[in-house]
Amino acid sequence: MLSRKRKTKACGVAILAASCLFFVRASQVPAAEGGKAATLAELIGGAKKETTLRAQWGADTLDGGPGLQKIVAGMNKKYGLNLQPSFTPGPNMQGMMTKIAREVAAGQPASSDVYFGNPQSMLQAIEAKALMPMNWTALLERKLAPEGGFDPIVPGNIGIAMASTLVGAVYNSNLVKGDDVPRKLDDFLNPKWKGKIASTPYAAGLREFAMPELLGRERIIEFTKKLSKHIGGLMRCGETDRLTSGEFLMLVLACGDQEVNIAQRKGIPLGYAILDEATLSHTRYAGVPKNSRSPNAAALFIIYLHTVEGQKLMWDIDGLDFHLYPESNQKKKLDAAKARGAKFVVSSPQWLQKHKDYEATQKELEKILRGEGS
Amino acid sequence: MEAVLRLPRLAAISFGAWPLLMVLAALPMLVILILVAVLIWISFQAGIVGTASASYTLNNYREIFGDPFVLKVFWNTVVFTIATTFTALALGLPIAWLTERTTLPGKGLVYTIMTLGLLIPGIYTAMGWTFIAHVRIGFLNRWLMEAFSLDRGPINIATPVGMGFVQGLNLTALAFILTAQMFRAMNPSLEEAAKIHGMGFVATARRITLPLAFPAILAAFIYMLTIGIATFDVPAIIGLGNRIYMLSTYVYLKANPPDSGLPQHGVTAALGTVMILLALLLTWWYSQVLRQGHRYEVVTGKGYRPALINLGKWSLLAWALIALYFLATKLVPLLLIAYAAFVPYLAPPSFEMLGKLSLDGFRNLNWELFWRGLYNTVLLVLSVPLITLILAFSISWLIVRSRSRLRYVLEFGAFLPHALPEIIMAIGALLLALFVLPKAIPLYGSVWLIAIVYVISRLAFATRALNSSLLQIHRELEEAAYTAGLSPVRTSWRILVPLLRPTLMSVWIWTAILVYRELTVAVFLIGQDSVTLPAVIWSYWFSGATTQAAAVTLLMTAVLTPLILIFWWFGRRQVMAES
Repeated sequence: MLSRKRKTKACGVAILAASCLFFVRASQVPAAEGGKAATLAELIGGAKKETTLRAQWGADTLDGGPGLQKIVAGMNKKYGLNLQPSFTPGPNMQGMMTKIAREVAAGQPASSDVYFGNPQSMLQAIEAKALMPMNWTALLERKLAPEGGFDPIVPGNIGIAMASTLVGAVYNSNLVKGDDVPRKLDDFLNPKWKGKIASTPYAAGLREFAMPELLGRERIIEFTKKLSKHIGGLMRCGETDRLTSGEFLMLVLACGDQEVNIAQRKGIPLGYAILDEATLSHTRYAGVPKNSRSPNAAALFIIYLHTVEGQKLMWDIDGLDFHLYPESNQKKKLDAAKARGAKFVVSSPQWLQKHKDYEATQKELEKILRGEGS
Repeated sequence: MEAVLRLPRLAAISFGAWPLLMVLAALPMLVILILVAVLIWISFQAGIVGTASASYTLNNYREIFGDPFVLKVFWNTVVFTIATTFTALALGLPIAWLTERTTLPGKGLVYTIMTLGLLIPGIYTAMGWTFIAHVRIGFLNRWLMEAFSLDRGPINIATPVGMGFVQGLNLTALAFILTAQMFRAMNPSLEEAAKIHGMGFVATARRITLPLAFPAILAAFIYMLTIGIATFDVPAIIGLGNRIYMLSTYVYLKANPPDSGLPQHGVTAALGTVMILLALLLTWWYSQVLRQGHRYEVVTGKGYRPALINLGKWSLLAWALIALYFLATKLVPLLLIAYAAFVPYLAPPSFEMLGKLSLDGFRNLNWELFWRGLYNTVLLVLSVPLITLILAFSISWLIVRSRSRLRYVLEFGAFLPHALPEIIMAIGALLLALFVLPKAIPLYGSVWLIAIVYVISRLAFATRALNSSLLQIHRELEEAAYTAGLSPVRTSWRILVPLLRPTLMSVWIWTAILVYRELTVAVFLIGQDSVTLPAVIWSYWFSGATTQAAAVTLLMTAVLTPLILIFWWFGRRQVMAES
């Protein structure tokens, strides 16, 4: 017969063990699976065994959850799958890459089965070895060739470009009209805009414009110092509600024109100005995290977005498509900007790698925009 | 014979005799210690913690003490915190006094308004006030600009003082709750003596009432200062876009850089260590004030009945103040959030925009995400208060009933979470789950990681409340139960729990409400399987999807308010039944 003391002790130990078991059971997640298909058929076969496609990125990327649902529905139809989409809003592209890199380092499953990034976050991915190398060109359903020195495949085959957008300024078209619409960088410094315009905390556009092929470091640093004293605050690229509400009249400079493309279709008063001096094609990349729980479905998702229907869907839901494809809407805009004589580059990890001072310049610009030491 | 033997054992109870309680009490202490240790460990690291790029350094401390920008952030936080506390007390204190010490009619309604005040998430008031008093788009500023032909709105909430004002409105209900009890218990004999000696109302208030209430007011002041230091929602919603940084948002940006940078967890942890020291200092001050409280005691064993001040026609003015508070902090922000949820895009309210109202914001909502967030929020609202109560009861029982010196350690440990900013606990928990815990305990990305942090952070309040109540229950009752042959568990269940029911219910409700509206921890620990509704709102807001953020806010209020109201109603019934 156990004494009362022993009974109580045993009870305590049992409760502790049960609690641990409960927590372990409750929080159990499937372990990360590897998966590397060599052909599209293998990819489809692998994706058929996966049930869910988890996605985490900014709620404004690919129209968040509703956008993911539409793309996955298209994929399911095209490839005969039965994938369930699951979207959770997440941090920005750099933040998300950091999260994935941390998860890879810790051996935890990835928060997102697919990763969407920009050239800079793909550089991060190269360094962190966070994405799965895949033979993208072999998997694509149609030819995607390099053009004008721009290679859409990320070094190491860890990702592939899937869309491009042109850098310029977004403005509230009810409040900025006619000749007030900026054409040159210095137009933003007009005293009438003081305290009424915004920039991004990450110096979108400005960081690329500071490179020698475009407007150069000296000019942009000087401009940003003036701009920092001129702006009313900072906002992220997707926060166009802050423009329509009148909180700010313009965003100098934006990451791209995709929100405006969508807004204009809905009658939302937003306009987009591509500067006569320079522009760049800001490239969007995708890749599959090494610790993705549905790597085949994730890769197939990216392949699907390269199909004609995938590109159209992306244009419809996010105002983006890829200028290397002949049917691209962005290609037409890009050709128009080139015809106006604007200096032009396509940003890519390879392009960034060539510019050793890019990161330092960006940090300096960010600091100026935050109001530190300006 | 056995019963006779048990009595002295209870009187000189040792910890060893109560392994179950010990385990339950030690568990949160262990978690707190680990979280603090993880934080200190990380504060000496650079690079991405847990990866090959991490290295040990003192630079994190150099950065926070050597960078003038961080000093500016500290200064902003000081101004913000003081403004928060003053605003909350300036509104909460008079309302508490009016409710408890005067003949104000409809006191039940005041309590309802103030309790409902706690249900409104801070993020919501901040969003609402952006529409009210933003320097350009706030309708108040627009009216003033039009009325006085001004170029710029005269009110600017995007300043540390302005944000402090908004956060103060959020904390008014807390100030009310913290001080109402004091006014209720205050013996009016000195005030009556002053009246007999011909002192007027103002002189009596200045020379008698306020000095008597001073310790309680000071205690509330310090308590709210500790909350203000770590407040995240208002500085995030109003401050981030306007380049006004507080410690909490600075920590957030270091952990989630919006720019090209990698997360600087080392700097975050170093800042956290400093915040802990600051909060510990305030906590020590708080405990000193509470200890000095006996010098101001005017509640004696003699029966007394506080005399109420007859407000007469001033009742109208008093109610006007309360109505203004309700209007400014609840009703107008709620209406503006509703407006934002139904417009196709955000623009200042106008007849043109009213004509564009539609349900598109709801139609385009990610409903799967909403249900997932709701499920997790309900799970947390139901589980966290229960776990908190079980752990707090164990700790309180040992603190109050034991004579071991270890009880002082428990008391300090239980109050420590109050000094630990939630944001810091969240980061500690995140890194702990990622890099320290073995894979056999896969807490990373699970809702239980959030639950653990919530439980720990609510422990201080729960143990304080239970300590006070347990002290009022004479141990004779438990001794009688032992004599009758009841086990410790049955004694607790049959004797203590019924007697403590009002306190347990109020702690339950309070914890549930705080869990329901909590954002800071959730923002840091959000994952596919652990997203909560406040985190969904934040994510939408932060990515510029304001109408969707407003739609989810409305839905969250509609779905969860009845749940909380049931708790509240049930709790009140229990309290009334007990009394």
